[in-house]
Amino acid sequence: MITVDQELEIKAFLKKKNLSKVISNEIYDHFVVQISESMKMNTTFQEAFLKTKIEWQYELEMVKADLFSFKKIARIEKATLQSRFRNIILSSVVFTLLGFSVLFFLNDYFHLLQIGLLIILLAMLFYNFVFKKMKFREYYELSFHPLILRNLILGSVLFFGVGYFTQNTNFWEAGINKVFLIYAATVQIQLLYFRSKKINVLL
Amino acid sequence: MYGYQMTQRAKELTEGELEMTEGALYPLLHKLEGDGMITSEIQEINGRSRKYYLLTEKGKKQQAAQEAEMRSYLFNLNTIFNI
Repeated sequence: MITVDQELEIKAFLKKKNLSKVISNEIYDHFVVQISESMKMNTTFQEAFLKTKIEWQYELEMVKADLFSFKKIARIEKATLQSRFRNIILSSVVFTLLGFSVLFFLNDYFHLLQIGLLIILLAMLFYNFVFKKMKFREYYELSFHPLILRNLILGSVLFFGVGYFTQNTNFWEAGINKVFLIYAATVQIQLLYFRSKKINVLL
Repeated sequence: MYGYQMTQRAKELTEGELEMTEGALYPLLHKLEGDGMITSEIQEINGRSRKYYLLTEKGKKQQAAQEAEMRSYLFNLNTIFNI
């Protein structure tokens, strides 16, 4: 049976890993059960704890959050977040390509797509704020998160750059820019959706 | 089932042949949850939050499909090597 002090020792170890609350709670429970089971076989707490830490060493190793970041996070956190963020980007790209097809083949209906996305975006914001799923400070942090900013800067350079050199009429009316706004809105909607479900996508 | 229970069940069913890496399990579970294959519920056990995972209808269908695919694969392998 694990004592309160031993539980605190496990918590202190996991706290140093800066894990999100959901992952931290889950790993904490796993650690307690794993150590308790080891202790049933006449192992001391310290031995069982050390054995568990060694088994989790790779997943709990602190690594760079992403290529350009100085922030260090546990590998297990990185794997979870990267997978979610990759899915968001992938589905946004697919939706953007659909948007591009609408712009290209059904130009008259493109504004309906833009209005539809705007309504969904506002509805998600309204839902998150009214039902207190998100505070304004969290929305601010989400909107200016380094990972989002990097994606937006990269996207802006790519889309606006292409738009600038290929369009000789009104720059802001260039189709490529409209498509980029579809991409940005789709990313934002998905982030708000995950936020409403209290699923951590960004650190 | 919860995470630790899954690792132990896999070990038990395969008589120790399959040892899941403890930490590799959770990103996988979170991915499946994101894909709607499994759902989770949190219960308080001895003052700790324990997350139980359950298969969704979509997950059950996927499981059945993959099981059938694996059975067919094993059957074919068996046929080839028993020649």
